[in-house]
Amino acid sequence: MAIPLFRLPILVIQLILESMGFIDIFVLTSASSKTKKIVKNLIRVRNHEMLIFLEKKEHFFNFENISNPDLFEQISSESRNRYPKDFFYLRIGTFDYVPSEFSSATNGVPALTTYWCDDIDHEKVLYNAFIELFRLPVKQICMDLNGVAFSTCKNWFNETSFVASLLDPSIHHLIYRPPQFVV
Amino acid sequence: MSVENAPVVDVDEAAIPVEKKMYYRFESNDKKEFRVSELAIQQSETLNRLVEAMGYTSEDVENKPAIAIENIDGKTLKLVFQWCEHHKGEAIPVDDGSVPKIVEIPEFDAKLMDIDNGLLFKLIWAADYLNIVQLLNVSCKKVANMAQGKTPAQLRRVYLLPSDEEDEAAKRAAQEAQDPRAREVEEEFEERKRQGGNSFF
Repeated sequence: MAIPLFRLPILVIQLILESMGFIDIFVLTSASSKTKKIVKNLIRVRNHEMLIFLEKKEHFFNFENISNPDLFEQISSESRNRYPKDFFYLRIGTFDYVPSEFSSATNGVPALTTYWCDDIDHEKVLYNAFIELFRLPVKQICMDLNGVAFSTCKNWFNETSFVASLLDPSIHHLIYRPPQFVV
Repeated sequence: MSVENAPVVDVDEAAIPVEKKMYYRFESNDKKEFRVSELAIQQSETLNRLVEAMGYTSEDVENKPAIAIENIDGKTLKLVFQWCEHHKGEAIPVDDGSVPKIVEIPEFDAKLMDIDNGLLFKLIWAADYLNIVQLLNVSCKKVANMAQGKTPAQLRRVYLLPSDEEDEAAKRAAQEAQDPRAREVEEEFEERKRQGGNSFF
């Protein structure tokens, strides 16, 4: 027998949603439009920060507990050059069918990978989706520019400039790893 | 006088009056009776306030009828009181404000909640009604854990969430129930649209 979530008192629904992890909440919003609306209205993320890592092939979004940074969850995006084996579709932003799969990041941390077409600025779509849903501050943006085309670098700077302007310079960082040239 | 110099007095422990533990009697809506210790009741804010307001003595507890809890059945109330007895004397947890919350389910609670989802649903309602903070926290965590590693389709089955199509159909059915002519008007409108009419009227 299932648990009829929306037949519980509203404060209990809120407590259940607040006891879920970031990945579970994010996947739950794809169940239906009504579910997304309810989750968005009830969830107020507190005491957590987001870290963004942009790399050539993958982008990572880490959701860290401020008082215990070892407790984090990771959602990543990568271009669809390989198709996942056990995938399911997520609704992210205006995209209804984003192939995704559960995985484990380093140290067995729960992780979710989403696969995108090359021509979509997936980091921007995901960033907007996370901010819309979780409304949590960005602690750090880290770009690894190794092997990244100049046009892509330019894109990243443009896309992240508005986020970077929101970072608190006293405690937060915008980190660039410059490309390494082989002589 | 310092503590070291205080005279040592032998105390006859048997002579000290032992405060008698008080057990309250509660009755579920299916007439099952439970005896619960005063300390265990403190886990429930609702029951604690109730017994405080009643001001029962030990004699009252025995002579007066059991306190009726009208909207909880015996099976659920048994679990609730088992939990309260096991956790009696423990401090009521204070929310640290973190969201997502970090809740650990102790072994005893995990075993207690190893029940079917129908009973778990009733247990959550009871914990909420009786305002048992920690029982509500662990039972909600158990329900939250059911989402782990589930796809949107699986989540719809686990939490009985209607899909967009089902929501839309339910909305239409509700509209029709309110206005039986709505469907006819809608069909007529669609028919006119097919015929190329610009205006409905």
